[in-house]
Amino acid sequence: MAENFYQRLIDKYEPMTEAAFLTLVAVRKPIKSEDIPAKIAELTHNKLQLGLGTLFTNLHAMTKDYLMTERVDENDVHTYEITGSGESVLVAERDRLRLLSGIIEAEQL
Amino acid sequence: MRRWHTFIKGSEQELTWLNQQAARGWLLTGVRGSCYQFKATDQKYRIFSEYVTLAVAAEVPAASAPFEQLATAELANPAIKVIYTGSTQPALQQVQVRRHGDLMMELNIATAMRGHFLNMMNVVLFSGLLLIVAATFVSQDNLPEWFTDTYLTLWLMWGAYFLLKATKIHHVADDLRVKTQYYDDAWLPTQHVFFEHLPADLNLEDPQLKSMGRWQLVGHDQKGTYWYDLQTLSSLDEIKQTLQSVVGPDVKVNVLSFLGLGPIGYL
Repeated sequence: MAENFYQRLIDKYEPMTEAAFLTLVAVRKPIKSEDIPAKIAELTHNKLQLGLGTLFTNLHAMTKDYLMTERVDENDVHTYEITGSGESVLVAERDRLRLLSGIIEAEQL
Repeated sequence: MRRWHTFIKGSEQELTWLNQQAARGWLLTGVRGSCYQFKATDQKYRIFSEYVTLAVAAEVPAASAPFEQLATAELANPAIKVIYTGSTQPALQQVQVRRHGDLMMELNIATAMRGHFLNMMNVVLFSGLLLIVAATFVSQDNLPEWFTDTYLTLWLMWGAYFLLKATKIHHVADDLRVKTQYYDDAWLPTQHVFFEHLPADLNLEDPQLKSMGRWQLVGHDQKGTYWYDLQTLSSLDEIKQTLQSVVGPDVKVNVLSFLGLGPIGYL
């Protein structure tokens, strides 16, 4: 039952866009929304960034699909954290990227 | 500073122009219709524009380092918001920024804008015609020549203004159709079909009618006179012949290709 549920989400999100991948990786630990752009800059060594609209579109969609949770405190600070569903989708994407990366190495591209 | 420019909101062309303004020291502060407001700045900004749904727009904060939200533009058709953000962070001036660009969305906006400008042209031409007829009637055909000349010039220029705007957007929409390869709701000539003594509405789900093109009921009266608009590539004779076989010989079918104006609701 749970596996079917995860599979539905995996089918929906795979293959992942860069924006979705970076958003999901950025929330692996609880993080305030205002800190996410800095986290993405750190993850990509300042080579890639997401526009605010793109970031919040992904946060909104993934929260609705329960890939992450959103907590809002009394100061209206939004904190996001990945869920088990989000981790499952991320693992599926990791395996996909690993396969592609293996091809790149094997073919010495 | 204010500048008026007709762009597809959220398009690359608009973004390039906004960044050119920013490079000249003019930072976007507001967008209203075709009017863009700027304020002078001595900081180096890079501007971004993205489409977001109304629900997401409510969640996007005014500032989230390194971005600050500069302006938003809410569109009615399609119902979305374009958010304009900027950043002064040096690291962001050259880095690749993934933005939610969407050519299909641009195409939807372009076709809606084109429809809006053509409808405006229709409104100007119709209301201008009504006014001049009314003025002629009231003055008992004694309107001064200078008045009619000035009125006609202004009236036609105003109508032509909207036509030119629609034409400009039409070319942009054409380019977007080629890029997206989406021709499903592409413009087709609108033929105006009139039926006399038609007992009931046409069944527009009828496969034969559906295959002719896109139908829209414009109106009908109690006597069974119906007016439909049909967007199709069929010729007038083909339309008439096909329809006569569908509605039978008792119903009179008239097809007009052109009423002298861009069709209302042109999309």
